[in-house]
Amino acid sequence: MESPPPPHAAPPSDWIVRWTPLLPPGARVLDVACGHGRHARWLAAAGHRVTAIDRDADLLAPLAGLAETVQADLEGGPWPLPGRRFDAVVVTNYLWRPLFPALLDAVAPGGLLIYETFAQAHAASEGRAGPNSCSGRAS
Amino acid sequence: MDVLRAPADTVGQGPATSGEWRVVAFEEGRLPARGDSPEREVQRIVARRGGAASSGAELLASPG
Repeated sequence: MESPPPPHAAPPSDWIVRWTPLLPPGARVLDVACGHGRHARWLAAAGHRVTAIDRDADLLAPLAGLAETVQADLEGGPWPLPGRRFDAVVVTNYLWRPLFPALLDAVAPGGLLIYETFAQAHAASEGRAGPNSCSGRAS
Repeated sequence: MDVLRAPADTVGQGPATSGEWRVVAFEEGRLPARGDSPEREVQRIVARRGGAASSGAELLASPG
């Protein structure tokens, strides 16, 4: 049986691949809870200017040459980019509902929010608690 | 489902948002198992914030 690729080499989500062509060339893109950075890498390779946020500095370090990296605790600290606007905000495999206002506010006029997350049934099956959270393996 | 809909107790927290939003695409579905990841239910959305001209290529995607 073929083993899965390492997380940093995992392919981007089909959803992200499908819709990011709507972005203008060189768009400012925010990858929220970027994890191993599969989307940050893919977006940077497509010529976009990527800002990647994650709480894990070890995961961000390899992205330093590809993206602006921001280490932040999105669930326990303040929004790390107040006043910053992006042509797109990309979120996959992550859901923290109290963050919604900040995510929406980070989208520039005319910009896109591209979101892919697990449904509640999945969260329940993993024993994750509360109405606000649903996060999977790092992206 | 409605995972992406914020519960009432979170509405109004954080920075104020403004502008109209248009859903470009929305899907619910299942991702097949891959490697050590089990099959997963997912919700997906693409939404564009108002305030600037958008691409004419955008179409509302059919579910699924």
